[in-house]
Amino acid sequence: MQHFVDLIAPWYMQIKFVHLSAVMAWIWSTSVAYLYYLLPAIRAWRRQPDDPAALKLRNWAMDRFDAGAQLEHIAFVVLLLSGALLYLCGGWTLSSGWMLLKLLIVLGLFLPIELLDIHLAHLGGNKQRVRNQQGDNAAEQAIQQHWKFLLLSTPVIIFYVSVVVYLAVVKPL
Amino acid sequence: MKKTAHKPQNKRTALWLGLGSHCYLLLILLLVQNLMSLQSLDMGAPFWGWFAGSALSLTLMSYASLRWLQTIWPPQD
Repeated sequence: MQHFVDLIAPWYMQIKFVHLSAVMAWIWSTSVAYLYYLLPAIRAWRRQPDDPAALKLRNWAMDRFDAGAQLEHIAFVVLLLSGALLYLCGGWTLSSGWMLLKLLIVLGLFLPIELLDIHLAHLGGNKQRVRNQQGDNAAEQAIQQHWKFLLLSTPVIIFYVSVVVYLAVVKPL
Repeated sequence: MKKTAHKPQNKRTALWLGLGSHCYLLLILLLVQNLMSLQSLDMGAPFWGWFAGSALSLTLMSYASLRWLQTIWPPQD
């Protein structure tokens, strides 16, 4: 392990660059799609639930949102890996309060949320796959399940992302 | 459009999100600190002040978000 740490230690700042880029991509990559494509499509369908065009648009937006979430999830994996490398070669320990809290939020909260999101967007909960394999009713349920997840997780993610970025930048504790 | 903004479950859900997530993280924090014999954080009055303020902020933010977003909740709800 020490040999590996010695090997990557000179690259600390380059790894930090990758880590920060991944953090930015993870935070912002789905925001435009969510605010300006998915929400308006769901809102339009909500106004006219029996309109086939509104339903088609909502389903299309949800399918595209699932596909677009790939960027977010790849960035999340990169930020976890680069974060682990920074922790190892930077000599950080959990005796810093800010680091302890940051890791607690990332691993205790973000990781389970992202795992569930990956399931809903790309694996068993992928709407296009559910529609092809189980039909329209199952796809409708999958869409509502994913929407409920987004409804509940969005304020939590926004809040704790701000806390984590503050902890990392200001290092107040 | 069916308005669901004033449903009492909005308040309950917001409380769960705000207070629940803070209590969950506090529990893991205490576990980690005890298991690893860490004294990283001084859990005096300022800590609990920040904890309460942070939990309240997230609860209010969740409530505002749910009130707004549940107006576009699917009609089957």
